[in-house]
Formats: sequence, C-alpha cells, structure tokens
Amino acid sequence: MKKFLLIGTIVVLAVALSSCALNVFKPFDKPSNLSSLAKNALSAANTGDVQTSISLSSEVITSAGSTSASTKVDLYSALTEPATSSKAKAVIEQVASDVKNVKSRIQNGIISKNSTTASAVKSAAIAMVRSISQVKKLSITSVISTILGVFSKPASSVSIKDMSPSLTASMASKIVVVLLSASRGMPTMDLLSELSSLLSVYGGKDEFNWDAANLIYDTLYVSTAFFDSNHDGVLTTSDEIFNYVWDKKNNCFKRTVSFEKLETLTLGTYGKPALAQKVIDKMNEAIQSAKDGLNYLPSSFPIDSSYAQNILNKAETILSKFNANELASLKTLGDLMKALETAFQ
Amino acid sequence: MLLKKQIIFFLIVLVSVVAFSFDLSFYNSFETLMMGNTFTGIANDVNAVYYNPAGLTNSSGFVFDIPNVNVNASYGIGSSVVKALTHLNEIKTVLDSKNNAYIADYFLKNYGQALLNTNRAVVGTNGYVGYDGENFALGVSAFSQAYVQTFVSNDIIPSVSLHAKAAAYVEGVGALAFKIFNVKFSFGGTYRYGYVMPQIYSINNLSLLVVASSSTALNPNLTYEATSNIDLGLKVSVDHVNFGGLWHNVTNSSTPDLRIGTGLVTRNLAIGVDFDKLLDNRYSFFRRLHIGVKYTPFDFVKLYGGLSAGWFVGGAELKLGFIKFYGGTYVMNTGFHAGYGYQRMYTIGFGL
Repeated sequence: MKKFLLIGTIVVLAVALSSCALNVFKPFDKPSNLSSLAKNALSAANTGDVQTSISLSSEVITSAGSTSASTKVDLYSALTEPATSSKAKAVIEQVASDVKNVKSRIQNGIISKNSTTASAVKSAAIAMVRSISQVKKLSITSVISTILGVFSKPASSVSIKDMSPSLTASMASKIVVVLLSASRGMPTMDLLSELSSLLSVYGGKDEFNWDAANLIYDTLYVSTAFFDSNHDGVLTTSDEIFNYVWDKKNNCFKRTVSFEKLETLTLGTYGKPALAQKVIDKMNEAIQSAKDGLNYLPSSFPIDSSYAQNILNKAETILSKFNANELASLKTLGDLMKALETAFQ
Repeated sequence: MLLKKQIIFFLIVLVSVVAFSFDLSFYNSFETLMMGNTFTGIANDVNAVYYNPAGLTNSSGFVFDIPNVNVNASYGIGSSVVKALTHLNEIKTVLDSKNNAYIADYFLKNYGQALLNTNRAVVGTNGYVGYDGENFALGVSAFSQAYVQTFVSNDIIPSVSLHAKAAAYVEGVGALAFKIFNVKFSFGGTYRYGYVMPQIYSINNLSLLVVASSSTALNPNLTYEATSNIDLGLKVSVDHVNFGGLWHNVTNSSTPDLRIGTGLVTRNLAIGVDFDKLLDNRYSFFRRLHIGVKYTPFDFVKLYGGLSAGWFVGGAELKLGFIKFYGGTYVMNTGFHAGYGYQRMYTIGFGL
C-alpha cells in the first residue's frame, strides 16, 4: 500500500510539475555549433522562450560579427535592467556594433550570403528582433492598427493622397502619443534598427517587412532623441514632453493634446551636435528604407507608389538642407517646425 | 463563396506557422502521450498497434476498442477557440463587413496576443478490433489525424503563417510469439494504407498588411494522395520485464525511424523508458529519452506521468460505465536538444 501511495504521489507530482516551464535536461544539453545555436534561438523565439532565444542569438551574432576575440555578452540582463544603466547601454551598443559588422561583412562578400554562417546569422537576427520586442513589451499594434484603419476606410480606393489633407494638429499629436508609447530607449531602437537593416540585406519575399520595420525603428529612435529632455537615452514620464501628453492623475496618456503647448517643448537635440548628427543619419536611413520598401511594395497595396516616392524625395531634399550644428541650434519643437516649413518652400 | 473566403481569412488570422514535420502516420494516443511518449517496451495493450505491434500477443482475448477521440491544443489556440465561441455574433458582424483590413485589425486586436508565436493543435481518433492471444494476434485498426500549426509574429510588421494537414489510415496488424523457458519472444507487423492531404494550408510569413490589402482567395488545398507503409516490431519479455523495438515506416528510403524501449509491468503499475529517433544523429541523447509511468489505483481511475525529453508530462483517466474521459498535458518536442524547441500541449478526450 505504501509503495502504491508513493507511486501515486510521484504521478501527481509529475502532473503538477507539468505546468511549469521546467526542463530537467536543458542545462546539460546545449546545442554547440553556430547553425544549431541559431536554429534553436529562432525556435525559442517562436515559442516565447525569450531568455534562451536572446542568449543563443547573441552568441551567434557576437561570434560572427565581433572584430576582437569574442567575449560573451549578457544581452538579456542588459535588456531587463533599467534602461538608464550605463553598463546595460554599453552591452546593447556592443551587440548593435556586432550586427553592423556582420552586415558589412555580408555586403563586402567576406561572408557569402549563401553560406551556413550567413544563414545562421539570419535566423539569429530574426530571433533577436522577436525576443527583444517581447522583452521590451514593444507593442506596435497601435501603429499597425492606424495603418489598417486607413485601409479599412469605407472608400474602396484609398491612396496616400487622401491622407495628406487630413494630417491635422490632432492627428499629429496622436502620432506623437503613438511614438512615445512605442519608444523604449535609443540603444534598443538602434539595435533593432541595425538588426532589421541586416535582415533586409538578405532580400527575398520578406524584404518589404524588414524595410518597413527599419523605417519604424529609425523613426522611434528619432522621436526618442528629440523628446529625451533629460538626456538619459530613454523616454520616461520625467521627460518634459510628458508634462503635455501625460495624465498624471490617471497614469495614462491624455485623450487630447494641445499641439500649441507642444511647440514650446525643448528638443533633446538642443546643444548636442553629435546627437543631432545621429538623428540626421537615422532620418536618412528611414527615408532610404522607405524607398527600398516601395520597390518591394505588394501589388495589392492601395498606395500610389510614385506619389509616395515624390514625398520621400522631397523629404530627402529638406533633410539635406540641415546639418548637425543647425539642428542642434534649434531649441524648441516650434523652432523645428518653422525650420522645416522654411526648408519646404 | 464570399463567406467561404471570409471563414478562410478568419482562420488565417485566428489560426496562423513555421513548417515542422509532424508525422501523421504515427498515432499518439492519450495514454502514450501522458506517459511521455513511452510504450515500446511496455507494449501491453491496444497502443501496441502503433508503438510495437509485437506487444499485441498479450492474452487480452477479443478486443473491441472504438472509438477514441483526442483533442490536443496549445494554450493560445485553446483560449482563442473558447473566446471565439463566446463571441460568435460579434465575429459574424465583423465578417459580414466584407472588409479584409477591418477583419484583420479586429482579429489582430482581439486574438493577436493570445496567438502570438507558435501554436499547435492536433485532433485524432482511433479504433481497434482484433484478437490478442497468448501466441498470436490479428486485428484491424483505423485512425485519422488532423494537424494545424500557426505562427503570428511579433515583428514590427506582424506576419502570419498557417500549416495544416490531415490523414486517415486503415491498418492490418498481426503478431506471433513463442516461449523458450520463461523468455517470451514476440514479432509483429503492421501494414498501413491511407490517404493524406499534405498541404491543406502551407503559408509562410504572410505580412498582415498584405493579407489586409489583398482580395486574393485563400482557399484550402484539399488535394489528397494514397500512401502505404509497414511497421515492424520485436518484443522480448522475462516475467515482468520487457524489451521492445519498433522500425516505423520500413519502406522509407530515408534514415530508418527506429525506437527501442524497456518496460516493467505489474497489475497496477507500468514503468517504461523509450529512446526514439535512434539512428538520426541530429538528435541529442537527452532529446531521445522518454520515461513514463502508468498507475491504476482503482479500476476506474488511471494516473499517468512521465518525462519527455526533459519535460514533465501527466494526466488522468476516469472511467464511468462504458465511457472513459481523460485530460492532461504533454510537450510536443520539435528541436534536436532537450528543452530547445517545444510546445506545451493540453489534451482532453473520450473513448468507449
């Protein structure tokens, strides 16, 4: 009887433990080669095991992209630590630099695009993007919903032309709120931007998605740089812009935002030429990604691509009229708006 | 026709994947799954048809075991289906709008979070009729399985994937056994014939923006093909201790799908250890290892537990009159290493 009770207890315990994400062999059974690491990283990302995914994928990226003897980086801890930590920032920037190196090695043919290493890097990069988005709770659903909302207008032939007249102050402030709610710090956005830029190098049917992703990450980097008034690299409610858009009483974004008040906001780039230069670079990359994306635009998309191309060319021309010192000399959002208006004419 | 398209579209968004080779020709019953995919050595009841046909020489006599129905789903699919069932009118209104972008937006907002990443579901049913004697066994079995794997990416531009396939088989199964002193040697074989629909859906990483702006029909591919194969099994028993082996899909030209196992069987208790994918060197030792226990404290209750590639699994079966109900959880392993590449599944079912 005692034996049966013991067995019964073991069975019940096994059932209870089943609900835990606990694998007793995992610590002894780590995959070894680059290809296997990458496959497992992607598999872990696709099942929501973000810690494993980030650990394995950063191992692949560091191994393929590091210029010095590869040192193991703990990217997961860096992403989960407070974003203001200088140590965390250094780790994220290191990985971003490794991603940039891999990309240039592939573009220069040092790593063949069809090689096992390149294939492993691609899987690792996808795994990393997916996992970082989950760790940082980067929900872009509102951005996508806005885009889908345009498509789902009752009028069947919606084009980008229809959107321009309706870009009112209220819509602009809505966009600001969307950008603020999605931003998670400059180092993270920079890393995500480098990853999606690397992925777009591979081409193929996903190229449109990665170009679009790059555009959004760069845009989020730029908005963070502009609105980061205390220069800690992340947007928090202690930054000035939240005085205008944040409902402190209810701890949420205000329903309506006064665009006139926003015009007095001090820009994070004010007096920071180096940051201003990075913002210009990111904006150029965003425009380039948008242009590349248009080349792969699915035919079913209700967007007039030649019209969009014209807008991007115009944006490029406007941006070329700015240099880092000029941008850094603009104190408020209102000043920036005026400068853009002048450059537009 | 339009409603059909809408329902397919609904499925795309609701049940969306990354290809993974789920073997439709190998039936995993509730019992074997709850024992951590372990039965090759134990092989002492109708589950032997699939895990080791040599084990059918188990002196059960005439066996009439139909039908069993298994529903297995990951949490994401399970919770989404429950939610959808309680919002049918709302969904109908959304689908009636005939606006793909609106429909995509609705499902992204309401079901996107639950279905994020990979989700899977398997529905299966099986039955067996035969005579399982001491020295020979002869029977007919049938089973069918449908498998769906979905993937909703949390990339900045969400994408969806959907893979679905199904199959139905009839099997003729036979086994012979003889004894030398107290060592019993059994040999068994299965001939399987059936029809497979290999790609009802095979969609990879379709951008949700493309889905939303496309009016292209997303019709299922119901093309089917006939298939047949053979399984061979061997079992050696000494008193309560058993050793078994199975060669699944013998006529396949690829790496032989071999599994071996050992089992200790008493009246109330069965304990087994299996190693699968024996000759496929991509799999690690711990990934191949499966351990299972079945304990029957009373005639109407069976408790199951085990360790499958390092994951704890378990469940219970309750027999009320002629009907048995069961529920439990197991892990679908998709990687080559223990703990890497998996899906926690929840299962409910019933049988006669």
